[in-house]
Amino acid sequence: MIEIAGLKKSFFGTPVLQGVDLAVADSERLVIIGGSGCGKSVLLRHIAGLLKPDTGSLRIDGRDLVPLPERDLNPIRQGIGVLFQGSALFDSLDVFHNVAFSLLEHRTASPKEIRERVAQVLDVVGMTGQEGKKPAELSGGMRKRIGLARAIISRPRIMLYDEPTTGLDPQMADSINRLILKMSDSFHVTSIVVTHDMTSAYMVGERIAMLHRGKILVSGAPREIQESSDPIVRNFIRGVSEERDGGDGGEGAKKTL
Amino acid sequence: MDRAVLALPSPLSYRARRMERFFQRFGAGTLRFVDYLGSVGMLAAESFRALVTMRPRWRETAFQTWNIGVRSLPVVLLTGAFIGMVFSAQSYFQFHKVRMDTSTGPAVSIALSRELAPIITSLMIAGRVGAAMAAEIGTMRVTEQIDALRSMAVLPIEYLVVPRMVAIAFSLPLLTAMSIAIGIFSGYVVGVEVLNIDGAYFLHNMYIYTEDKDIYTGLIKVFIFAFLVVFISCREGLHCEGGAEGVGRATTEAVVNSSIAILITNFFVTMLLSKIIPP
Repeated sequence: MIEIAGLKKSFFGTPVLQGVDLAVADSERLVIIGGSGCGKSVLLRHIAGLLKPDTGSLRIDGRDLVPLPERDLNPIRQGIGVLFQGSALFDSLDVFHNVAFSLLEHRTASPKEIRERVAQVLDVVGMTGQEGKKPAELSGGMRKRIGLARAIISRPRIMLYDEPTTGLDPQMADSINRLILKMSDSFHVTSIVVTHDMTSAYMVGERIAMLHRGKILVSGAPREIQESSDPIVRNFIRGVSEERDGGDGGEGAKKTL
Repeated sequence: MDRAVLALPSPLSYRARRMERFFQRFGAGTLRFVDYLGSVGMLAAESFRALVTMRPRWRETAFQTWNIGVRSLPVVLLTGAFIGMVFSAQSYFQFHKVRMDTSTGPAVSIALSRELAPIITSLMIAGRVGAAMAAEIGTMRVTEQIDALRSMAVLPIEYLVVPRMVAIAFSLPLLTAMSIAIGIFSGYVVGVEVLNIDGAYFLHNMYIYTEDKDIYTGLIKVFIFAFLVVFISCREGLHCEGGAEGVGRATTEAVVNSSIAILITNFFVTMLLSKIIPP
């Protein structure tokens, strides 16, 4: 269970998160949507324990992460997998060592078991036989898959996906979305997906929350979001800019087009 | 007319505002400098703490030692040789005026051991290795690789800084010793073979006047410089922001700040060592 209350964060005096309240149940798939620069990734980094808020609390299974020093966050981080927007693969390591990184670092498995688990997760993400390649030899989609394999190898209970389909072609995006669903269904992990790709949001989300001006504006099932009467939500999910909006939630703009 | 006059600041207030601006800038600069020193100091403290508490990372440390030590050897030997040669020639030109040609030997060996080889080697390592450290760690930071490390419960200081710290603290004194050796040898070649100084007296005077403390004074200094280079360079990389431009800036500042720190620290360490080990 992840519970966020009154989370605020500013960078150089500019407020980004202005009191986020959010709860995510175990095994739930939550999608956080919102415009570019609204603070979605910043919120995700707080949940991963990579950023400290200015005020507010962030509890995972009842334990508040905010007052914990960096070293004490590590046991909690070992239960969280993160797929970064740019994959964040280590350039100097090949695919095998990237994927096996956390197991090798924490020595939680024997060399034989590590080889087996790497092969297993590479099979899950459809990248069997790519162990010897360097990240520079991989395409964007392949890098995302390897990033996902690295995140799931330590069998986390919580998976955080930062813009998992950004920059991918529709087929590759669909494949990544299916992997997210597979992860959730097969391993019952709690999934939080940050995206502004609505196709992806409807496909993977059991619940969708919209972040707007540093706060959760609305939260509900995908159908509730689609049928929302809030003009900000309607404009966002229909891709209507504020300049084109005639105060009718984008209906007029759609007719004009 | 009266309004216009009233609108103009009085000379006193204008001077006062200039003074105020000066003190604001001076204060801001001082705060930035103290903040910078504090961040380097904190990194050093964290790194020494991690060195004691973490499990040894032999493979990474061995790789960094090879990268810092072995791969720097050609450039260190080349600069050491040419510094020895030019210093031998310049010393000879001066000593020859007072017919003390054979004093060139001790002058070369003492100067190389105490100052030239430690400083030149440290500056070369700051340029070659410090820049590489800042660029590599800075690139890792802007491409979220540092965050990826942290998300996998690996502390960047333990994984990135400590192996480099151990490697440079081990490599730099050895590189300096080799630079001293090749500098003295090349100084001998220039002095004896090119400038016709008597070889026997060159070596004899060198043995008499060069003492062990001349060698280890230099080696103690580079041991301190090694920590300056690694902490300043890693600090620049870990605080890097702003994409490729930020990485470029971090790299430049790592080299410039390390070089300045080496030169300033050299003076104070020399004075301190002169009290502990009189020359």
